[in-house]
Amino acid sequence: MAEVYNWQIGREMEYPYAESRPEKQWGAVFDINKCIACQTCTLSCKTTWTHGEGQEHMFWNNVETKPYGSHPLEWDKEILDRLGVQEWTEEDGEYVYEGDTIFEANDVDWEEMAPDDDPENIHGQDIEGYRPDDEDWAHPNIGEDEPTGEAIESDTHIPEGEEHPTWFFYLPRLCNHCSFAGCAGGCPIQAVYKRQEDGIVLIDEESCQAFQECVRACPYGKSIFNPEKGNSQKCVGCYPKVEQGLVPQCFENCLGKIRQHGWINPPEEADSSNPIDYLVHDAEVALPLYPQLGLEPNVYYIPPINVPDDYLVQMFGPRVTEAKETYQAARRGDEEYRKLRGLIHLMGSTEWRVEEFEVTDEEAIGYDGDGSTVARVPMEEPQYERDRFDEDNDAYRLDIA
Amino acid sequence: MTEPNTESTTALDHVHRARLYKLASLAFDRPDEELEEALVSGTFADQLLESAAALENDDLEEHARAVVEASPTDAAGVDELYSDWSSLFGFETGGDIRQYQIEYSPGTLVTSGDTLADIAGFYRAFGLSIAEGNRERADHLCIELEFLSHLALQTAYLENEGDETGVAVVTDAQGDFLEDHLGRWIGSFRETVAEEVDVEFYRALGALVDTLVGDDTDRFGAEPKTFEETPPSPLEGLNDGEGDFRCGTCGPTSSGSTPEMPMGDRDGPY
Repeated sequence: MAEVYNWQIGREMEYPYAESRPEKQWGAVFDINKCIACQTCTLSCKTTWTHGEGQEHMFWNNVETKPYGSHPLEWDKEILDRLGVQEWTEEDGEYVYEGDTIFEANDVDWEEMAPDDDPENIHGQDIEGYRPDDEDWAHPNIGEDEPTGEAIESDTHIPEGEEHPTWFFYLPRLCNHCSFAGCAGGCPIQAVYKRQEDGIVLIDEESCQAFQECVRACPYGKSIFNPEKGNSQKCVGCYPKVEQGLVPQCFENCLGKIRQHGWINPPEEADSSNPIDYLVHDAEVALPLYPQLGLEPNVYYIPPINVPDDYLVQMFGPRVTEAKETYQAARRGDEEYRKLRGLIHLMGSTEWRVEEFEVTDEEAIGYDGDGSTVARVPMEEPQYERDRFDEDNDAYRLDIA
Repeated sequence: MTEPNTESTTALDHVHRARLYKLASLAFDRPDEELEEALVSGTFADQLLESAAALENDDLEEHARAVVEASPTDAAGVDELYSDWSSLFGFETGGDIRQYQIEYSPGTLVTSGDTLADIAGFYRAFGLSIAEGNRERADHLCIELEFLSHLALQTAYLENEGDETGVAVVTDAQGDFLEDHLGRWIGSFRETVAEEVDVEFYRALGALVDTLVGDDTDRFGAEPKTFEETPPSPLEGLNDGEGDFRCGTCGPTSSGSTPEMPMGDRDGPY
């Protein structure tokens, strides 16, 4: 039985393949608090990768409004329903997921169902999942900007730093290039593979035989069938850019600068000068999406501070409350979280991959893999004040700061 | 459009027309049980010959005979036809022969929304919609043929009822539909099939449908303007001749069982 250690759920779990981590792992942190759903990421991806025939329904990157938006339709409800109610336990601040992952829900004996060369052996058929209907791909904008919660009255007051009674938030999503990828685990002919040099998960289109098992086994709905080409396709992590030390299209084009791309290490190898490691392992402010599914996804989210915990715990796991508090402390300017604040300022400020960062008295600085400076951001936004009276034009200024 | 010349066409003729369109629609669609049964039982051949003969057009009769001669008559033959169909028209192996009107018109799908809307408007005007579960686009050959079959049958019914207004409405509709839609591209479709298909069944069928439509454009006084040949796509120069302009770094996968997750590098999987 293949047992792998999934640090996000704090325990070993079953998976069709033995654990094998790449030399480096493509990773990302998204600050949801800053996303405005302008969909520039979506379009930058669409125009780069999925503008062909047969890809009309494909959004390798999409932004959905939570709780009502979802693409493909209700992908999250579908998989949560199938897994049912599950529990996390806590001991000494360490959380362990006690429920079943998608690889465990159907009690598969993975030794018996070992992947082999025989395409007739659909070894991954009991990975919990479903294949979305064609119609499920047809509503990428459903639920956009629809709030939930209690109605706001004319005298409703929301104190600073508290959850909002009425809320929604935007969830930008793409392939998580998971450490224990469902798509790779499910493919009966091993056409899905992980790249040793960067951990990007790719479908080899030459080998793909359109079983669509990857589509079924990816609970995030990020492996998508192309009926025109007759094979499945997915986000390629913009590997041609990543190979050159650049960030992917959807990161570079993000107007809100909510995205940071870099390498993510497992916790025991975490490096505090690496921005992704710092946000995920040191500050613990960025959390994986639905860690309980068991895929060890590599896109991490800073949870939205206006949204109630119960919804967020289901989505990002039990460390949500602490993450929100840490983020708010950094925003307030608490000295203890100065480094985090600097890094949050640095996010999305360069098209180069920041592999190392430091925060000095005045600024946050990002370095690429060779140690060259690729970004500099001041810790305090410089403010300029002009005279109220504009002598040249003999007029008073309305806006002077 | 000129005046329709339908006086010599009897209600029974319209029934035969309806049957020919229906059979052609069935035969050009992905072979299914309905077609298999019709072919194996001989109903397909009998009805096709009978209706083609009834319309007293020598060309039509000749093409119908050619279709029947090339038709499979047993299950194995239909299986083979299924493979032929999918390699010619299907998406499984990227069949090259398009069965959609817009593919034969200038412009792209994106710029042809009005055409699709017009075709769908014809269907809706006669209370028709595409069957639930059928996801074909409105401009698919088989759907256009089935629509004409329906109108022909309605004409026969209304003739029998003596409903002159009704007959005028469906007569106009058939003329308009042939002039604006099917008549504009069926010729190019037949040519494409004749040039690129070596399955006699489909070649003969293409000729039959083109002749049937030609016969009807005369009958209804339709004057369809044939689409100009589609200009080359802007991506044509980028192709390497094999229909692909990717970087070509994706190699074939290595065989052998994989105890660990399949890994690879920038040249593809190991």
